[in-house]
Amino acid sequence: MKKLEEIPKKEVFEVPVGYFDKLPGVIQARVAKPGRTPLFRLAPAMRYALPVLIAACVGLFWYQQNRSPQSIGIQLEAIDEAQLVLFLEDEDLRVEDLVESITWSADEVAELEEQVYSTFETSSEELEMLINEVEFE
Amino acid sequence: MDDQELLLKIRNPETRNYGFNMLVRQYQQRVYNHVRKMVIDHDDADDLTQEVFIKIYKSIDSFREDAQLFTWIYRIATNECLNFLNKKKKRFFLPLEDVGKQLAACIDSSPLFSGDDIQKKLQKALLKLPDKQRLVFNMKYFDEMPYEAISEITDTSVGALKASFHHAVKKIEDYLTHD
Repeated sequence: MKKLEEIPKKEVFEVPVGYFDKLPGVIQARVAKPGRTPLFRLAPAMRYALPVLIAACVGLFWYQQNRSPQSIGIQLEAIDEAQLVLFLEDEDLRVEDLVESITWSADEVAELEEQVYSTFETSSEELEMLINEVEFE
Repeated sequence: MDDQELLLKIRNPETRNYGFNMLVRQYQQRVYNHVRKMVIDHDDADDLTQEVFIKIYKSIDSFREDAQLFTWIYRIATNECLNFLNKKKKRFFLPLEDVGKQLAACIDSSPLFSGDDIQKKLQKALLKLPDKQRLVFNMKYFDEMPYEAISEITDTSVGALKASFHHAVKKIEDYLTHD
């Protein structure tokens, strides 16, 4: 068996002439090359705070958008009815003001009309009598 | 300039570039030789040596001095070599044997190899070893590093390193005798 110690130890890998004279300059040039600078740099604390802030804003916006009239209704239900009547009596509210402040959808208007006109169940005889009672000039 | 002075210069913003340049000059040959023995080809060794020093530059502030500077540098170089060889195998879907053949062909054809036939045979025998065992063998046999230092660099126990070296020598001598 050939022994390892019989082989003389020597550096067998060579480099091109002047390689080690140039290498420090090459490395220095690569190190000095400016990297891509971001348009703005965040402070380290803001890197963590900003996502939390954005999430909080989104959450708040979502909450505001999803506060349905139903939840207001639930809140009103919690108020004692007697207190509510007292409040409405004390306030100088007119029906016209209330009606104007409400936005009606077409369906709601139709439903309301149906409710109002359904109370006028007048027969043709009654209608004739009513017409005869009225004196036209 | 000793390691302490080098580190002081590098950590001072005014002398950082000068200090780093000194560090490169001081360690470039040892790093290159360590890398070259692993990757064989000069161009690959050149690329990797540059990468090693760029990594050193970027992470020198995290060097805590609980190890010797030279050990830390060797560790970075060793990781770079192993990553490079792993990528090479994956990129070309080459088994260990074929990477070894490719590197052996590089020994035969490279004008930057000065060894005689027996030196060539020794290098080819080394290429038969698994990368980590070859690494240990190189550090112990060629660089004559103590096991304790190799242990720090490779994160392996001294006992395991001794066993690895012993097996490597046996495999190499076997190859030199029979092939």
